[in-house]
Amino acid sequence: MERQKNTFSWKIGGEAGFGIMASGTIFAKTCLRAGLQIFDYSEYPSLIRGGHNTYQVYVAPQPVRAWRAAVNILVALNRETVDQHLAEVSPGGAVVFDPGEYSFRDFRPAALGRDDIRWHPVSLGQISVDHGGELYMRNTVALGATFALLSVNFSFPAAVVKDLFMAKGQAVVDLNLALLRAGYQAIDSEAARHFPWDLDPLPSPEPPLYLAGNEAIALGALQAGCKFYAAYPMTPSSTILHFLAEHGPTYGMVVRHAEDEIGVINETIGAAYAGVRAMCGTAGGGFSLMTEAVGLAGMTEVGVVIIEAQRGGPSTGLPTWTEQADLRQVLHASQGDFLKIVLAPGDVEECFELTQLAFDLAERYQTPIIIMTDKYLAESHVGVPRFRTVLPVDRGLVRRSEELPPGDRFRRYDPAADGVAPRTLPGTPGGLFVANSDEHDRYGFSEEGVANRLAQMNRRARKEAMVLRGLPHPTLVGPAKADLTIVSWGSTKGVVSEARAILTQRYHLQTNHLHLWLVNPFPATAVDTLLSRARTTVMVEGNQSGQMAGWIRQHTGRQFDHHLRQYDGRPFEPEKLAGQLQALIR
Amino acid sequence: MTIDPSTHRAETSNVPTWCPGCGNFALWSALNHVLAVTNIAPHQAAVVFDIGCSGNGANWVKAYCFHGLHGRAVPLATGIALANHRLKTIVISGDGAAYGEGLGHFLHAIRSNPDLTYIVENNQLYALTKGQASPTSAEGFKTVSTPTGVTDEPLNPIALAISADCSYVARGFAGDLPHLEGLIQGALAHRGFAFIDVFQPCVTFNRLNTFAWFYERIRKLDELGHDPSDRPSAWQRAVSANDDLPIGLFYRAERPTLQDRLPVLRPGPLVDQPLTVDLSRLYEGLS
Ligand SMILES: Cc1ncc(C[n+]2csc(CCOP(=O)(O)OP(=O)(O)O)c2C)c(N)n1
Ligand code: SF4
Repeated sequence: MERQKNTFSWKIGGEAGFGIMASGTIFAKTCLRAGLQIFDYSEYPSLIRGGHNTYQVYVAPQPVRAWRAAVNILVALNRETVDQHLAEVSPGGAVVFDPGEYSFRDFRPAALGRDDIRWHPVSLGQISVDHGGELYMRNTVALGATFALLSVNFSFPAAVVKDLFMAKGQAVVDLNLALLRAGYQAIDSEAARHFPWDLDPLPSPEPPLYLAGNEAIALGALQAGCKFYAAYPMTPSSTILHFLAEHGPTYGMVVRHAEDEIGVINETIGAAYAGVRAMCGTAGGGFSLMTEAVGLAGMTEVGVVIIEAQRGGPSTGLPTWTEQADLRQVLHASQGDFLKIVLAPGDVEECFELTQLAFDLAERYQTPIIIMTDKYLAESHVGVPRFRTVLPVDRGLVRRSEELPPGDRFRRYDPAADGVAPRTLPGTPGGLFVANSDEHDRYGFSEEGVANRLAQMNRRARKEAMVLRGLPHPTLVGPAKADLTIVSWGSTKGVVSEARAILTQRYHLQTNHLHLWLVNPFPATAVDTLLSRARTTVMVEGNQSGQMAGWIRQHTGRQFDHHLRQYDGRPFEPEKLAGQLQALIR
Repeated sequence: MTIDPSTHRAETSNVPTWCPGCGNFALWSALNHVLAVTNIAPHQAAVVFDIGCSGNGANWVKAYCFHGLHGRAVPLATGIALANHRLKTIVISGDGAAYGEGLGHFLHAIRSNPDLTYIVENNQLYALTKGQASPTSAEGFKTVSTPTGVTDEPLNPIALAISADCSYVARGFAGDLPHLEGLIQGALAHRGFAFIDVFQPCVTFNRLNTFAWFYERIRKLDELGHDPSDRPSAWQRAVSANDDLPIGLFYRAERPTLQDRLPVLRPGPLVDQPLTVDLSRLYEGLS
């Protein structure tokens, strides 16, 4: 086989509770410090001990925008990993397994009929114990074996491990280095020469950040000056809470783990009303509980940012798996007509940028902003350069005391305003108003009369056009004339990009791509124009009923020629998607 | 109606629409009076109202009023009190909201002890929705939703609050204004979550728990020699099986507030803190 430098994928699998994520992180960070790009992906069941866990990472020198299912090195900490994932190992690949592990009793690789791969029995657990480690530290031994197979000089991973463990003291560093070295030595140089994938570190001036969508959202919120975050734990949103609970207070943020999601969103609305930038986060189930208060924010015109991280539904569904099936629930959340701005970032950078933008939109348009992600985007890590984009802060129309007309009461909800009326913050002398869940007049007093009702409804409705005027239009990526126009929203962006690259390189097929990051208000005119020019169209989305296709049809009257939908809890995959797309082009 | 603004904070541009004789007038008057005499300027108070007859008071108090969702006034107020702890934050809710829809929030607010005052207008039924039974309706009480009488035991909010170690637990009566004002003043002065349950007769729907009915049963705790720092005694008086209904301060304790426990708030209210941050230190740990 031809040797492949710096493009490979590695997967480790075993029982939950065996530090699989931790060793995956070390591997990914080592590759990042080697100047390479990564995209990782983990699968785990909704339990703490037992059950099958995997972590995999795809590595390449150029930007990597999606995970890959094919595996070049599989580290099997138990037999189940071989049983479930052997088919993913590509020809020429390697399987490292621990013959001492009880589930490998009577294991005969030869019987599995994969003559095209190499089996590497390494007594991971025994080696760990022999070198003064615990059994669970066999992952580190496996990492050493991996680096040997990749023919990288031992000093490189050793330096990274040293750096990562330094804070834990010299003894921890020494132990980990000993285990790493023992694993490295367990693979003989003949085997390494035979293995066709190599890691060859490139010069890397500033190591990129190792981030998943959730952390990028948390960073975007901090950067935007968000001072209040509330949440109730729910996969896949919880790591935002963990990250901000750890780092938020350093940047002046109050972080609340409230009693339930209803408390969460009401506290967030209270904080935003009082004048701080405030955000809350949850998954589909928690968002269901927040629904009523989304309308409260719309009615009282309090700008809040809500993160909705999707997982497989309905109900508690597939708690730790991915899906894009909450679109309709988000779009239709809460009774009555009012504006919700719904954003769907497509990658980690967009998570950071759109979260920052969300706070400006929240305060400029005084309405709830919902950012939709999913497990795949929220929890898959990539390497990104340090974020430099810092949006200038726009706090919208806020009146200070000296800007107010005389009198105690302020016309906070002046129907003459162009959509958004200026607000005052509690504490401002002369700025009193009622923030009222009931329909209200210009001062916020409850008022059910016809003229007022229409004036207030119509004023609030004018915000929609303002938002559309104020945001960039969606654009096509790729050639204007193409055999196929692919539309996606949210996290599917990267998989489509990778699939398009495969179609071009391998089959010379021209496609273009419309990624919808602004879901509501829907940029109907722009999308309609783009779709009108398409030869053949396909909608790629992670749900059963085609929720986005329906939303587009509602706004443009257009139907797609083809639909590719996935709702098995797994993300779309570039190779598979490329095959499906190719079949659509004739 | 003439109102002296030096002693009363009522909103004069808008007149309450409660039924004549409604107990809500008493609390409204007491609150407005206390805000005036304690020199809390209208803009320095955030008053969060629930949904109900009691909640309609949002239109008639001169302050930054928020008329929120049914049962959700407490978390809304907690957010306000965390964002700007310089404001006096007060919550006014009905018993349906407080002990039905919003009971969970109540218990958790007791635990976290945010510095705010929580007043429940307890008319022992749902008034705004036309007289259905509430969690504090007496067993056997007949309403449109319980035509053969309430079958559940009534909740005892005072005992509940004491059991959860609420830092200020009091009960007032709409028929004794000066006494009620004293409790509200005490609550506003208290650092922490101050809870007052107010017997507030609904003259339209509640023919059982009337003003006259209460006058026969009300006993003042301070006249009974009760020591509000004595939790076991407070508990005894809250669960006492006789027909007397004690009002006054049952229990008070000094506990760190939610705001005290957040070092982030020491430099001053969250709302005054600068928005710009430099994340470079944080980025260093993320590669
Ligand atoms: C989620 C929700 N459920 C129901 C209602 C209808 N509702 C309005 S007020 C009310 C009960 C009011 O009773 P209480 O809280 O005791 O206040 P009161 O009117 O007696 O002052 C109900 C059930 C609502 N507004 N919101
Ligand atoms: S219905 Fe009862 S609580 Fe409501 S305003 Fe009338 S008397 Fe007061």
